[in-house]
Amino acid sequence: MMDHDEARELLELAAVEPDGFERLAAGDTSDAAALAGHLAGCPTCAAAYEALAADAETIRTAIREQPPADLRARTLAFVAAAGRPRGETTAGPPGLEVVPDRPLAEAARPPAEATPTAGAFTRRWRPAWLVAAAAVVVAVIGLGGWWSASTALDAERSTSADLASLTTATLRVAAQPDARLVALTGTSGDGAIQGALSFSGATQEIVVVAEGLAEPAPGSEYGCWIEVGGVRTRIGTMYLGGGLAYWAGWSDAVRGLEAGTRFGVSLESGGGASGDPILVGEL
Amino acid sequence: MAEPRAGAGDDVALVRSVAAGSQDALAALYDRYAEVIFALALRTSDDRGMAEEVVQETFLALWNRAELFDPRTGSLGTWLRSIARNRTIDRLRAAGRRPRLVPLVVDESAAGEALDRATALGSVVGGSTIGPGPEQRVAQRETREALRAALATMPEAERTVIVLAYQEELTQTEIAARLGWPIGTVKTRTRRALARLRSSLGSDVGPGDGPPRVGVHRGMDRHE
Repeated sequence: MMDHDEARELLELAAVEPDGFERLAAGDTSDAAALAGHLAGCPTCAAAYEALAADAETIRTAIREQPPADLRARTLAFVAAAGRPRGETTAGPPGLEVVPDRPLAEAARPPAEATPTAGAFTRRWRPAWLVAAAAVVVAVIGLGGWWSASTALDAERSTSADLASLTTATLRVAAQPDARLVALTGTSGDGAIQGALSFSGATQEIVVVAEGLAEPAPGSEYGCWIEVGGVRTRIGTMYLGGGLAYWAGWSDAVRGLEAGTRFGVSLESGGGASGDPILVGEL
Repeated sequence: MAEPRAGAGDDVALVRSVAAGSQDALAALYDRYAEVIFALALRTSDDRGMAEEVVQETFLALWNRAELFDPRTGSLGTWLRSIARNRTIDRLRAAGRRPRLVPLVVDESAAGEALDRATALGSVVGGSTIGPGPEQRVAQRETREALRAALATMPEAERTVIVLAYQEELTQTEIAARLGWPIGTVKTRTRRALARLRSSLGSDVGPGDGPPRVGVHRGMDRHE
């Protein structure tokens, strides 16, 4: 006959075993059977079992959800290695507003809830663009891989961080089952300007990369937009760096595409989207 | 889930410091929010490795995009959880898995806001419970802090066995094999650790309220 101490010990050890209580409850071992017999005739131990089970669940959850102790150091090292360059001596922003000239600012908006729509799109990501984007990133990071306080190098490092973010966004889009790639063609017809847009209707995330766009005149910028039924909606501003123009962000407009929807880039001076298209593609 | 106690003003100041390049500020924010983020990612994914990666990516996003945090639109905790949640879902989808349902509301200050936003986006197609009420959250936080303190102050050997048991879900036999300790030693330390943790919860763990008397060990190993 199992005594109280033996019953408590079995219960306590079960409390920290994977599925310990379940295996005891199965009653398919001599110990489990003996314990079941003891608990049936001992209200004190039965009550102790209930209290222990509740405590064990609380403790299990609390300990399980604690991050490992070394994650702090790993995370800080990861950020130091992969994060954008920032300097302690650099003056901080005046506020926490979005800095207008911050490349890929739009990309920081969290993606909307993804609800994949089966069969909506079938063309898949072409890895050549991924390779090209990665190559650009590596090249730019290589150029900016040493520290300097110079403005030029800071800008280069900033660009490299942006292109790294662009690659990350590209990978994120490519991972979606409905990812599509759309070739963008220059309206000049001479092939000097071309690009590609990848997007996912499920996540509404868009990545645009183009080449051949000249540095805009002061006060001008390359606006990118989506046109549905002849109505344009501006979705962002192209940034230039590393020999590319690029933008990444989210737009609800690609969620349920209507026939004739276009993406385009135009040179704008007032933040609108009314300029003549320089680069276009049919979505 | 334990909510950080830091004031919003402290958070804003720290985010500004992060934007200015302070890794110390980033570390301080890690200390405030890593556990919450980790718990959210773990609950959603049921995958510790993925949860660790999500924590790293979330703090990388904070570092890279600190300027974009706008305290007028929500707390830093809400912002970080939003990033973490999206990262987790991205990873689950990439792995062909579905996220587990977790309470919609994990931050009292953003309770209505979160639900409204999710509803407006049309993203709420199912859900779990709404989550604990304010009193419950306070109680949960206190419980977690008590357990954390107990865990931090218990002997290293006892902490090791209880962490291996609960975090890595090892049996006592497996713990003994990994640490090279006799199985009886593992069981003794396990029971002592459990008793200390239960004491921190205010539970009566037996005569004397201390670590239990340890008698003859009986079979509780997986294959016995």
